[in-house]
Amino acid sequence: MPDSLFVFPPRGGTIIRMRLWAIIVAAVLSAACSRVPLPPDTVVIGVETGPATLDPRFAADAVSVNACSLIHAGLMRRDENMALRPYLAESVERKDPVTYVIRLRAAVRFHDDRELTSADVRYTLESILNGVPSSPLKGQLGDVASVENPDPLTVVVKLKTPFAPFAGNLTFGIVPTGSGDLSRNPVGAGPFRFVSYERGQRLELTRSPVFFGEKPKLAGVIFKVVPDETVRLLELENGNVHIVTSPITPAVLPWLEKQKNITALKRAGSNVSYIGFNLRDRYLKDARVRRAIAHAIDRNAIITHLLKGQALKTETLVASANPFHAAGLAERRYDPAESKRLLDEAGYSDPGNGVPRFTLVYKTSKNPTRQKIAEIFAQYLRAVGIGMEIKSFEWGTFFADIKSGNFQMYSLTWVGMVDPDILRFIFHSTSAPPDGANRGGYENHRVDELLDAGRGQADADRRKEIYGEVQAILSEELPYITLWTSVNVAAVNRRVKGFVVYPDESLDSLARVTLSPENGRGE
Amino acid sequence: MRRYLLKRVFGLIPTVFGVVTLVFLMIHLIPGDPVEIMLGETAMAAQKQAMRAELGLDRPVSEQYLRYLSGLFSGDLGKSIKTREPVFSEIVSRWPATFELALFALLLAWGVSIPLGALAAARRGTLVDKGSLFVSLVGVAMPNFWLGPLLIIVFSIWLGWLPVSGREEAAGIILPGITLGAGMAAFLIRLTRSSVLEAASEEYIMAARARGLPEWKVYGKHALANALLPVVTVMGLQFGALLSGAVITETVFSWPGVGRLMIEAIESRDYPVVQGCVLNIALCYVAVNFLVDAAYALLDPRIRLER
Repeated sequence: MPDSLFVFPPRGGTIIRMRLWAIIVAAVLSAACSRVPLPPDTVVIGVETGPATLDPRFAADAVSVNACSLIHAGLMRRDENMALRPYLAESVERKDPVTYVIRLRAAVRFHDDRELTSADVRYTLESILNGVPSSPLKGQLGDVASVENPDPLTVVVKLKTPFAPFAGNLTFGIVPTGSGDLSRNPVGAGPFRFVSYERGQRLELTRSPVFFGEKPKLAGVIFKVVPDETVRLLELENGNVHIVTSPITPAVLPWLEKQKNITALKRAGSNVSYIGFNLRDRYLKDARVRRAIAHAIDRNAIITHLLKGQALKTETLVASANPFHAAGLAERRYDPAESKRLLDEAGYSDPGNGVPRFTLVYKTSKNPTRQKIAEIFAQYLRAVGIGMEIKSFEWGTFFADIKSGNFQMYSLTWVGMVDPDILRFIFHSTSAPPDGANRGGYENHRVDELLDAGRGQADADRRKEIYGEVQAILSEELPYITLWTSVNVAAVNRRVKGFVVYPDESLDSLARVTLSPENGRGE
Repeated sequence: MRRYLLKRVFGLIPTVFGVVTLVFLMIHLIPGDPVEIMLGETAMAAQKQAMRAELGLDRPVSEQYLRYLSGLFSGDLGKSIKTREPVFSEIVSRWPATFELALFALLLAWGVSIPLGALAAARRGTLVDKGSLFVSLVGVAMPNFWLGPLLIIVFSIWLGWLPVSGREEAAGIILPGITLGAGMAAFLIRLTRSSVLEAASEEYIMAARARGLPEWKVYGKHALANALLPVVTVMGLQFGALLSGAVITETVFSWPGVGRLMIEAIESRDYPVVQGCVLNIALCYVAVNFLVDAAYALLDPRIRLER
């Protein structure tokens, strides 16, 4: 029988093996003493997951979009008030309802020092429209007939049908002609240049010396992946991370606000939570029942106690931060008496003795906050005589049910709404899944007309009027009950100056941020 | 010995094949459309259809299964929906972190539990024994999601000795290693102690004592060597579990290992990566089980002779 490693006193080969172990342990311990210093004037952002891709044509998740907007520059961009501004483009002119002429800035250079021309814009657009694999941005460009570049600084895009959101959707980064897969080694024209990306660990960017706009004050930006929220905030407290953005659990806010070296910045966001109804249902097809449900729920109490103020009541899906938001819509206040009156009027009188007037099934995901909210809704509805059965499912099952119309009530959040044309996707009678998200079967001829008109209308003021009317009809008919808009929170080290929270959670202000010296010293 | 090992290797083939088939079917039965995840809900139906054809998802399940099997033989596990990178290289890139952490935790658990377990057995009923019992109970009772942040608060925030999280600094392995090793060590202390005590009641131990050997030699050499069989089995299985990724510890300490990759893939419903990770877990268990069997045969010649 051979010697076991544990037989002692050691003999022959065992001594060698024990020494081997000792060397391994010593190597690990000695390596433990080395520390990697942070580059000077570099801001570290703590993120839950790393970017899935650094190719702007395929960026779909928030971290990828944010990282791409630092590395790449789009033709247009949205400022901190969501207003559209030219970026690489000097102007985007709509010659006729289907023709757009894009004039580019001169002397813009990519990080590899190549000049950015109309050929690069054409290449980017064409690879989004026809590339393999398919880009998630394709639908945002409408039905494009042709892309031409008559001179190095002009691009002409012709659409098959008018599509008003076109110019507003040109915010994705432009990539150099002939770029293959840029997901790992991107070359852009944005304020920061790519240095390295270790998946699951960190993405490092450095200030671009060839950036066409105002040069960033920071030497660099690091996205550090810290999946656990508690640890992310501990890293922030420890000074290893300078910025942590939403989502931040509401219960953590009071602790954050007590920290001397951290400041919590807040701003109304653009994500809107809502309750969706199946309008084919025998109870829910009656608008009075939907209004009764709206009056039965005390949103103020939920926002104050459960969401710790990290939400704002809204009466429309278009968030208050959006220029197309319709202000002045009547508030659906908490009024159980009105709710009961509406239910009586609809013919569902209260049988008494705790027996519900009728019972609805409410579907939700396994997300703990959503489950808590569902329980609160059930209590409020019970108080006006509506029974509510909660069914929570794993996300895939839940969403498959919602898409197939297999629900009475559910709750979800619309994320990243920018152009109000999305309302066409949600409420137009021809937008039933899989070609749209009109899951509840809402039909209103006037709304259809307005949504079609809004899509073709170029004039921003006229569009605002059109979508204002759509929002007013929806808030009256309630195919959705819009609940609240998210409040974006950023926990920021006080040394970071000039960081601005954007409604769409963009990190574009990093191009203007400065980092003050630590304890009066330079870093 | 070689014949015994070859027999074991062939015995593993149906297991691996079964796992591959189950994983494939499981993933295809779960609701959720990978194309919609890639393109977003707002993509046009024609674009979704084109992507389905591009990925071969419009083919019959049996054809997809055969393609998946033939891909496996060439190391092709498909492409990640989220990153569009090959799943194989995604998993391989996370392997060093997982292996490093598993090995560190195992060495730590081993270094603490075997001497402490043997000592507790040799000093049965004394303060040393009770102390080791206490340490082991505390270790077993502390969940990783609690112990991890506790260690961070003490050693990183209060004392400032070690990094909070990440693998960028070499010292970053110490806290996750302790977190992961603590529970394992606690269990192994109890196991080593009871195995050594059992071995100590054997006649050959009496014979050793009768020959006048000192107690440390009786326990350290004779009892411990024979008590190690169950300990090696358990350690092997635990190592297998660690290699498949320590999900909680990797998440708490931002350790970029396979466990973290799997959680990220589940959260973003990246089915090909989930499939690859489950396969990786299965293969780790199968491989470690095989190694444990081989170690058994090495430690106890009766096993290789009997079979």
